[in-house]
Amino acid sequence: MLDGLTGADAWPWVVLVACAGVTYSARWLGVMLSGRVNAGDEIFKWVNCVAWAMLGALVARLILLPSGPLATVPLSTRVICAALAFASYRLIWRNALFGIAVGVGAIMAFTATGFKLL
Amino acid sequence: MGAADDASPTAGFRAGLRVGFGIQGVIMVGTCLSYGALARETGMGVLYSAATTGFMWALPAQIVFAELFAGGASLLAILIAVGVTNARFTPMAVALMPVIRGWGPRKLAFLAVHFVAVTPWALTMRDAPAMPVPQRMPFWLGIGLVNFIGGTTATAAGNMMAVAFPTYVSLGLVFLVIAYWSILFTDVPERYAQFAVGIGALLGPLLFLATPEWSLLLGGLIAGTAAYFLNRRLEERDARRTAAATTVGGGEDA
Repeated sequence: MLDGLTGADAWPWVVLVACAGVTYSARWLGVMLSGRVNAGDEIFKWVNCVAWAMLGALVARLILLPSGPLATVPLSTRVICAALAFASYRLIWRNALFGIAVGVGAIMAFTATGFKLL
Repeated sequence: MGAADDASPTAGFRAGLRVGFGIQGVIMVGTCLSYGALARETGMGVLYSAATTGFMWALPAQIVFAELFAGGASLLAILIAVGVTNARFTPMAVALMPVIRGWGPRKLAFLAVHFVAVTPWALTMRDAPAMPVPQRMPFWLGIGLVNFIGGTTATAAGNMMAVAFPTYVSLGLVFLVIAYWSILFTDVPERYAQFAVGIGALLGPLLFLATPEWSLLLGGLIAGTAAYFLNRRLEERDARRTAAATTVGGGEDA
């Protein structure tokens, strides 16, 4: 278990603090660069586009090419469950909780029963 | 909703707390529970896994970190992977700050930026522009505070409960955030942001096949720039049409 604080066990904490430093620098740089940017600027729009595009790429990758436990679920099931979540939100009530419940419920039901739609 | 009528910063903070204790908070806690369980599988203890959440506050990078570290990768390799995965925070912070600043000391931004994560960011970018300026920073801090406490606690709890989860429950928890993001990202009001999400979603997986480690960064830059220019062309076209319609209309009147 990586929980120690002394001796040889200090190394995991060194690695963690270094990673936290790298992560915070990306945020810090954002604050520094944002100083001259205003919400109506063209550059703000462009940066916003880049940020949203990264998130679009991230969620599509997580659905289509996941790593970890989701990789064991068939592609068709993942796509269908994501589409179900999206559609139930869009078509019925625009209630996020409902959409999420449908998507998550579907993937749990598919996995628990081993049922494959396509 | 009293908060919308009351322009005070306190009301903004309370609105943020409400969001943190709402669906958004449930998602955050659910995600961190599943991360805690995953971290346990890679050999992390309760305190250490909670610390990765608190110090990094970046779930995709934490997962990368856990996988690499458990696999015995070198410090440099881990740092590069975490840095590249988290490069998205720079454009996200650049976009967020002009929206939320305008309340409190300027240095508050350096604390506030630690709370930047996908879910509260997307939600704040969507909802904060409609709020009075002095409410936005307190709103952000309110969400961030609840998320932070809930997220670190949930990571520890997930780590402790890991063995008790059947497969389909941990899968459901992982899928929770994906389902929420698909809903949240497709609900952005600005046209340019809609283009960006759409093009990014098309390009991201393709680039991931070509270059897994750089795909997020490259995809964001290419798809984001494409979306920006596409939107600009459409704006110019709309402007020309409006101008033409006005001229024609004016001619008919005369």
